[in-house]
Amino acid sequence: MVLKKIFFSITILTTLSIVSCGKRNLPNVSSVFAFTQMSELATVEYTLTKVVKANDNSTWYTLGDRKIVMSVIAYAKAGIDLSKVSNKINVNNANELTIKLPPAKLISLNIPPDGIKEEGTQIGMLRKKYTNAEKNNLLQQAEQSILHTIDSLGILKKAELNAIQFVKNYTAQLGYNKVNVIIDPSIK
Amino acid sequence: MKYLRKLSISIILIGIAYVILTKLNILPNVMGWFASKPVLIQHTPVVIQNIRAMSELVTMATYDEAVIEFRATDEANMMNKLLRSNTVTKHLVLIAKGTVYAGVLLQAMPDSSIHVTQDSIHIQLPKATILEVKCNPSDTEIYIEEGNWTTVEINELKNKAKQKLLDNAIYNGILTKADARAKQVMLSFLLGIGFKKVVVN
Repeated sequence: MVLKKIFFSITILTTLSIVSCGKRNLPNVSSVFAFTQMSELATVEYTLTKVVKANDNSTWYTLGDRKIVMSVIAYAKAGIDLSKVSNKINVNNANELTIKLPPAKLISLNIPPDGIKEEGTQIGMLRKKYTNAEKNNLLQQAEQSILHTIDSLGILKKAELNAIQFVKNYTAQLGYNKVNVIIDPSIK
Repeated sequence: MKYLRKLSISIILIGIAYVILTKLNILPNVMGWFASKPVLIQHTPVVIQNIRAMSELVTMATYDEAVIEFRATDEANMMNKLLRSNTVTKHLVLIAKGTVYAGVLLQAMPDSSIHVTQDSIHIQLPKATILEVKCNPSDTEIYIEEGNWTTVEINELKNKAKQKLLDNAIYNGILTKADARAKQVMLSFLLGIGFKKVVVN
């Protein structure tokens, strides 16, 4: 009787394991849809390019090269948070205005798929081709590299200058003759 | 027999001791010597191609996920090429997370949309539009990859995912919300600079 139970259990487990190995289910993505309220005034967009080069030759037991070159186009937008401006406005008299703007920040870095191109590969006879997951990993590194160097490209300075110009033009349109616009680094 | 028993016990004890010592980082892990090193990109400069001045008021963003599954004949497969058939298929599942930005193009505002009379102002804002759909490499994961997929094909699937994210954002009313938020932002800005009566449409 016990032997019979064991036999049945083993048969059921084996069948289940074979069936489950044959089919991979799609990942169960839970709904993460979320809205975020923003009040950013984007004042500049930089179009950037970067060449992504890699050679998988650091592992000591591999023979032959595994090189890849890709090119990437990225769009970076920067500007100021307009919601932090309104509280810092000082109206001295009827037509004179001092406006303090917050420092500029990066609003978005967009790397559209159409801007990613594989320029070439060199794969040794004993090596396998790059998978798309590996290529995506290299592109992720490139994205981080662009994010780290973006400050040095002067995008924030340019965004602040454009924001000052925009606010000056806009307030002049509203009838203010003397407008003093400054960037206040103390505004967080 | 007794000798074999002693030998096997010694081997087991040495094995356990080695595992414990490697876990405590006292001894080097031999398996690590055969682990492949991560592939790192080489340093290359970031080049500025263009600088564009703009005045976009970004007022609403949505964050969402999309799963794209695709099966097709693997034309690059050797079996398919040799037998001139399309029996071997390729399969790909892509998980994409992305952000859709919506807002108002302030540069599109004509002078006639602003009317000022003393301390009151009437502004006609342009309708909110989709400004950007962001789905970067760090937002995408290739979950299943079977067969030969070119970069162009992967990019097409990423574009499909972006379209799915955009459709979902529009379906959930991002443009209406962006419009309402734009009015709110402009209202507080204009009240802040001294106008007593503000009408934003």
